[in-house]
Amino acid sequence: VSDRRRQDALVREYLRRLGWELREMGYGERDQLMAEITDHIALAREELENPSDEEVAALLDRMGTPEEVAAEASKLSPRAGGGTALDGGFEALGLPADLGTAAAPETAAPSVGGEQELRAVSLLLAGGLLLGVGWVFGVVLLWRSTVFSTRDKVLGTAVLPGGVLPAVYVLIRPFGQGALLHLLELAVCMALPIGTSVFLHRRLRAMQVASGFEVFRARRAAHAAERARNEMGLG
Amino acid sequence: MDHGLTDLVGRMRRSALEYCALGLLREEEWAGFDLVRALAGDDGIAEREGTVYPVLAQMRRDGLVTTTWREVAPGRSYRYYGITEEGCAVLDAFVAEWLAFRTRVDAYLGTQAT
Repeated sequence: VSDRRRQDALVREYLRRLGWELREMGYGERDQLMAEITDHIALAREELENPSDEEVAALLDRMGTPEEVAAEASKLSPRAGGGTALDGGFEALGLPADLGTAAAPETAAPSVGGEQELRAVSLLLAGGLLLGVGWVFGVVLLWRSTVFSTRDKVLGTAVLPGGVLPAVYVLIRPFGQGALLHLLELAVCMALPIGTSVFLHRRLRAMQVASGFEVFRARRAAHAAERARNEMGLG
Repeated sequence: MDHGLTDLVGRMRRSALEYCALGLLREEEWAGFDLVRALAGDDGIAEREGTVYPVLAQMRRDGLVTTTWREVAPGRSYRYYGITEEGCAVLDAFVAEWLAFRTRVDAYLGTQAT
């Protein structure tokens, strides 16, 4: 592997981590910030002639860690997308309220295709209706995923096994005890699997956005948009 | 221990960052890369280059600075930062406050420039 390619990988890794750290930011703001930092690094690299790996690493060090940049960004703009009713729901279950936003392990930010993960989430939700078999397939797919973190997998598996199946059971069961209790039971059995699906889906989306290709695409789009604005004299 | 001095200096530098940027931009427009280089680094007011960009973005949202794309070479465009009228007004207000603050602290410390 040539120096250049190895250093490209260093920079890509930095940007990927930055994208991941900024995942809770509004799309437009994040895209623009990613674009500016991507350009800054590219220009800084151009100043160096045949840089060593150490020089490129020092250059990235001068940028600050992705965590430092993200901390500055989050201080300034209100975090978009965070703090939904869902987070409150997790809190009620005794899980951390910032489950969706808490720092995930570094290994949880791979490049994301997502088809397998979407299938897993769908099966976990509704697969139970196929005599429970679909749900088992969903669990297998979930655990085979290289995208979801272990925490996501535990959550997807443990929060109401069977997806909406228990809700169906509660629905068709005769009203024994008080009707209110029955309704409450139904609500919980519906909310848990649907909430988990929504949560996993959001995680997937955030990771897709954070992965390299999306960053690159978003960066080009942000450039084009700003250029267009300037040409219209609105800059 | 330094009685929180490192922390204090960090916060003072961070608080002054916006105004230092406005000070530079009052004279002329700057390419984003050069502006960030001037503001960060060993002799800069900010410690890390990357952390300046979110601050500039916020200043843009607050209407203190504007950005325009300029083609500096065929097929090569840089984003240039400029100051707005509001940015100038904010800077003027800060300069007045800063001079008064500096004079007052100097008087206590006996550190007036002679």
